[in-house]
Amino acid sequence: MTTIAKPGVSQTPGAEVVTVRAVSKSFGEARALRSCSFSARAGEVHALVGENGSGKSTMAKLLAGVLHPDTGSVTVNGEQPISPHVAKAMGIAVVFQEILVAEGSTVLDNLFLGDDGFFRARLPQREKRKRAQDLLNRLVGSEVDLDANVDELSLNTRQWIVIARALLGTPRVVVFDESTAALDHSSVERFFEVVRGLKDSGVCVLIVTHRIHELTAICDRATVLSDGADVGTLVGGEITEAKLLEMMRGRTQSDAPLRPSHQLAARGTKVHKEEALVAVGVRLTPDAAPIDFAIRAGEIVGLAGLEGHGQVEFIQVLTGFKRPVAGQIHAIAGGERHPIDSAKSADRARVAYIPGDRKAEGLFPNLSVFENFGISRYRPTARAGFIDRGKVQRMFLEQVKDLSIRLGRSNAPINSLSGGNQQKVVIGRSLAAAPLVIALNDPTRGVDIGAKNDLYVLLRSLAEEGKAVLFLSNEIEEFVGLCDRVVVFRLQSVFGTLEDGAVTSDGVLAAMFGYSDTEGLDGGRR
Amino acid sequence: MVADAKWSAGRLIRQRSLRTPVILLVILLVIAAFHGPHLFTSDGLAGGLVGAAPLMLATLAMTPIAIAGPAGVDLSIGPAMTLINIAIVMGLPEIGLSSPLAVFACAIGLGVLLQVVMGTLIAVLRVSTVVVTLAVYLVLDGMNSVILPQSGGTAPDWLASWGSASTIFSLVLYVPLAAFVLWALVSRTTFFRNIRLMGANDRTAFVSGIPLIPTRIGAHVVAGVFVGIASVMYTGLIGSADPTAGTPYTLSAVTALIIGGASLGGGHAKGLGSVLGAIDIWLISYVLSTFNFGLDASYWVQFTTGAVLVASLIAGGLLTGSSRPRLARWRKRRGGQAEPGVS
Repeated sequence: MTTIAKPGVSQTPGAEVVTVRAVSKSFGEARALRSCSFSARAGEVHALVGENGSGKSTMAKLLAGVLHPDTGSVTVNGEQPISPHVAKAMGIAVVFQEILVAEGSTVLDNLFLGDDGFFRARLPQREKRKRAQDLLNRLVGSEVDLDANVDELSLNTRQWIVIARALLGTPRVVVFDESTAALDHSSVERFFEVVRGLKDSGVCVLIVTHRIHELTAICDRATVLSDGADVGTLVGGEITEAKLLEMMRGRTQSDAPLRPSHQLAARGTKVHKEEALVAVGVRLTPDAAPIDFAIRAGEIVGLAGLEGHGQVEFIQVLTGFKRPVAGQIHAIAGGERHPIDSAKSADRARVAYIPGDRKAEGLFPNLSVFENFGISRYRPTARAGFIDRGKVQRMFLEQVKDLSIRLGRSNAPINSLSGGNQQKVVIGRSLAAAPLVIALNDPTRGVDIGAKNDLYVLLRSLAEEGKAVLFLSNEIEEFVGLCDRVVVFRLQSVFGTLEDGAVTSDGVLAAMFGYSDTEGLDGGRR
Repeated sequence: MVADAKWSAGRLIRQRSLRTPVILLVILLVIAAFHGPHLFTSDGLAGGLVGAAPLMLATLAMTPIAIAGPAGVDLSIGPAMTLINIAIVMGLPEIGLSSPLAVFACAIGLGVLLQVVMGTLIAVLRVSTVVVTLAVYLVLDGMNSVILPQSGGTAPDWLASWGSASTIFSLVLYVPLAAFVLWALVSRTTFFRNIRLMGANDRTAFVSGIPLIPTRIGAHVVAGVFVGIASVMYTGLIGSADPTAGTPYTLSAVTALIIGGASLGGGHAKGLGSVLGAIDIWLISYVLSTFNFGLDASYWVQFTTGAVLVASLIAGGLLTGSSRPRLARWRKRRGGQAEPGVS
């Protein structure tokens, strides 16, 4: 095929272009990268692979000049990308994971975003239109109106626009951070052609991806990241699915932080009672496979998946926070079916959702511990519209005791508590409403080990009381020994369900990456 | 060519953000035609344009800041116009300057200086535009009354004569015309497009290599130029220096900006919309002055302007379709409840 991006600048094929040396980067307490090193050459397709949170996207942002390393160095052709502006001038183009478009602006403006100088356009308008139209038509495979508003385009087309933006600048280094996530199937083939075209014209292509078969299809080398460090680089034929999974798992087994299985006694005979929450034919996106799902009272079900594969949307759909594209959800209490289609109906059906991002969704950071607890309890306990503070107070003290929340004064700001205790306040608030189904969206994120342990014990005891517990986590280890079943999401649908003994970290990880050949995986939807 | 198609009347109406100000303009002109036909004489039109010019230019000055977003409302404009008015009438003659060149240079220079100071604070310290411009509003408003306790002085002759323009061919009317041409040119530069894209999504703009700080300060420089021109026109209109009379321009210009279809979220505002909005605001007071409200007239102007603002926002929501999904849901829910057995 014709090369989509012209080489623009001559780079000797095989010469080292991108050099990352011992880079560390922290965000507050969290260490995204720890002494990570690798290099990539001109005319090669180099993959960065790793689990959620292994630091891949941070690396992409460092190359783009959006972030700066705390220690170590990132250089491209010997220069440091110190700002996005400089990075662009150096010929580094990054396609980010999020589809970054300027809303309400035209396709053309979005394609040449940041391309023009302060006072002078780099290209005359007519040339811009011609180049943009040629490239975009080839990429999308159909005519795209350059004057259309980007808001009105499909996700697929918008993804192509951000890819095209990177290619129009005749880059030397292109970083694709999960750029195929929003592309449909036929587009992925065209994307591969684009990558091969770039490679042939001497561009250094870095691909960050979760999709292993993409790597094996197209990559010359692959660097595996684990917990922010590079654990090795595979070359050519070495890049096999088995090998990659093995390297990713390497750490997971050796220094796994904490396994609930070590903390909890094995469960006795399970009393699987009637179903508590049922989803029928739920579609998360118009073209995703439908999901049928049920959780029984007394059951703990884990929800797993790589970031962006639908598990978060699913837990929000189940709890009425998001509407599915299709399908129904019912909670069943006392033989009666309660349809769930809004947060309010979920609340009435006694389905509680405990949000993942405490800061954004769960807490009012300026209010006190007590206010944060009481916020959803005032209304149901109010008498004739007046707040019954005493009653809320009693509920609060009860939860403080039950969940062993460690706090000084109840009117201290919520921020004075540790992450784990903040999380307990959020959970306590939900438990005070005596829910039948409790859905937790990654509750252990940013929580210390002791608090995690408390949480596992709590979830187990809730299940034993007969509540249905849905537990979404990004840490695979957490499912082992805690969950009766783990439902693994892939491509906005359920990929498979692992039960009982099959709930192992290897099994879950393999399923997350799309392998069903592991023992114990039933492979199909329930 | 593309440019031609862009300016056809049909296209104008199809530009959703301009629908509200255009419709409002037509309504007001119809009322004016019946109630105050003097407006449609050469003399009346000239007077109208002179009266509306300071507001048109002040609204135009606010526009790049609104585009740069988010919540880019410049509250300082009224007192800034007052300060420049005082400088032109009281300050310049003291150093023996009163030529048109000196007046425009002083006005635009002061306008740009004030805006650059505010723009730098907003861009570098990342303080919200409203907070910075509110502070400057208060500082300038106080300062103006200290410098000039009561109104006085006279504008240079050439400028004072502008205020009494009697035909649509008066020289004064070429000034706003020149300002519109300047706007048309500036708004077609790559720099201005960067302002727009930054306003639409500053994160995307940043990672795409648009330097945010100079771009934001640049938006304020453009604003400053128009603040300067607005102040000259304002001085011509009142013919003297006044420590407080310019202050209400802040709220009028914000109103005109919103009626003109600017999105306070950033990224979307049109110079043409702002000018139309300003004409609408001026026409509201013109039309009301043709009714006999006597001493209460100014209260009625305020009341009506506020009512029109709310009405135009509601109409705008319906016309541009931004309220449609919600309306559709509401209808569906009503329809759903009408069916038996659902609740």
